[in-house]
Order: sequence, then structure tokens, then C-alpha cells
Amino acid sequence: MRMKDFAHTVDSLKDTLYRFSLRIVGRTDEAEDVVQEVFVKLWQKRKEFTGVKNLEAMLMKMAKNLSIDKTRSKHRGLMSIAETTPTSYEASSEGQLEAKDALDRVGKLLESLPLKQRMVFQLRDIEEKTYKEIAEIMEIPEAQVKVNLHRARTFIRQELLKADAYGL
Amino acid sequence: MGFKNLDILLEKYLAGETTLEEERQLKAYFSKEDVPAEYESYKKIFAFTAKEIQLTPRETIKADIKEGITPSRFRRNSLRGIAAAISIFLVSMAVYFTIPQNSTKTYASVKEIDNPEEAYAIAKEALYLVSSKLNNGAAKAAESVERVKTINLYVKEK
Repeated sequence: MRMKDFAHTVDSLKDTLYRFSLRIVGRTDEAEDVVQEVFVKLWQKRKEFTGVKNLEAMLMKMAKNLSIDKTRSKHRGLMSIAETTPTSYEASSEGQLEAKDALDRVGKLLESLPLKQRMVFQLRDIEEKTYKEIAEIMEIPEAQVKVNLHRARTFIRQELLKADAYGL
Repeated sequence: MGFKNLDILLEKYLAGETTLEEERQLKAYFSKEDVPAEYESYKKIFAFTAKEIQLTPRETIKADIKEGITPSRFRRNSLRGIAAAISIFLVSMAVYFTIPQNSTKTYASVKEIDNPEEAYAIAKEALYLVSSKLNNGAAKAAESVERVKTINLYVKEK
């Protein structure tokens, strides 16, 4: 892999890797560290990566594993919940405030899901990956991808309906 | 997209059975301002996914990656230092092993002799040793002179 190809790979995948990692670790600084680590590893082992069929899936898998490692580190055990709160959106008018609340609520519901469901939702509904690609990244069968997706979507919708019913 | 199809599509969506194309149609539909109240929950979900795709890391991340793959100044200097130390060591070893060392000189231990007879005997022995060496040298010199004479004869004949 030449520097030019490497730079192109960074440009095209950094955002996807960042969002995926952020969905797992919940902190922007840690997600950025993961992205950096993934690309540094790619460069250091570029000879091994030459000829890899699906480089993107390989890098996504690396990002997933590094992110999960970060959530398991001892240091994180001491972090406060506030530090891992998902992205909050800004609002200026009343209508925007309502929309912001809705976005924040969906974000919090997503954060409350089991890790596998969260990752599958991220890869399908945000990154628009195929079931096959998700199965490869997650290292699970396609049928399990669909089951996790079904559970994630159904849970979020039901919770939103409940909140609306209670006027929240 | 008609509402009849919408319900079927949403069922498929919840079941995790929609294609990417169908999901894009749903996203496009729910991005509109006015959606019937019964679909409000879906509108929130699709609004969230549309917003999340816009998240990006800091602008400086590319520079950080570049720095990560380039040896730092400290590492570069360290490598240079190590290389210089290895070179000096190799040159020293080469010099040590290739240039013959001066043979260590051993000196006879000085011994004071009180008995004159014993001193005379030792001196006589030492002189004999020196003279025998000189005789050898004279014999060698005579031999060399003979050789030179032979060479001279050969040169004159030529």
C-alpha cells in the first residue's frame, strides 16, 4: 500500500469508523483514539493488508475490537455516567427544542440497548451497510443480524410510543 | 408512496426484513415536515439517523494519524544515536582485531646477588648467551654477503 492509497483510505473511512466507535465507547475523544489506532495499525501492517478482499470490513472489525477493549479498561470503571452521555443536539427556537428533545430521547434509548443491538442499528440504519457486510463486521450470521435489528427497532419505537402516551 | 404500502413497509422495517432501497424510501418520506400523528415515532427515529450520519471526528484527526505513522523527532534522534553507537563499536572492534597488538614485554625480575662468585657465574652465562647470539648474527651476515656477491656476478654477466 502506497501513501497515496493510504491517504485515500483514511479520507473515505475515518468518519464511518469514528461513528461506529462512538456508538460503542460513547466518548468522542476515545472514538478518535480508536480511529487513529486503526489507521496507524493499517500503515504498520500494510504489507499484510495487501490483497485483503474487504478492507473496510476488516478496519471496522478492528475498530469494534479496540472500542470494546476501551470499554473494558480499568480506567473506564471510574468514569462518571455524564462522561459517556451520547451526543446532545443544539436548539434555538421552540420547534427546534422539541425536535432536539426527540433526537436526544432516541439517542438515549439507543444507548440503553445491549451492545450487539446498538452496533447492528448503527451499521444498518445510520451507515446503510448490507446484512452481509454487517454479519462480516460483527462476526455473526445474517439471521442474527436481522434478529438484533428487529429487537433494537421495536424497542426504540415502543419506548417512543410509551413516552408520547404519557406526554413526555 | 401510498399509505397502504407504508404500513406494510414499516412492518417489514420493524422485522428487519427491508432492503436498503426500501429503507431509503422510508427515510425520504419521513424527512418531510408533515407526517400523520400515528407515524410520529418513526419520524423521530429517521430524523435521528439522518442527524447521526453527519457526525464527524475533529478536523485534526488526519494530522494526528500522519503523526502516528511518522517516527517522532525523539524517536528519530534515538535511532540516530543508536546507529552512531553501533558504528563506533564496530569500528573499535575492527581496529582491535585487525591491528597487531604490541607484544607485552616481560622484564626479568631484578635480583640482588650478594655472593660475588655467584654473580660472576651468572654474568659469565649471560655474556656467553649474548656472544652466541652475536656469532649467529655474524654467520648470518657472512651468508648475506656471499649472496650479494653471487647476485653481483650475475648482474655483471648480464
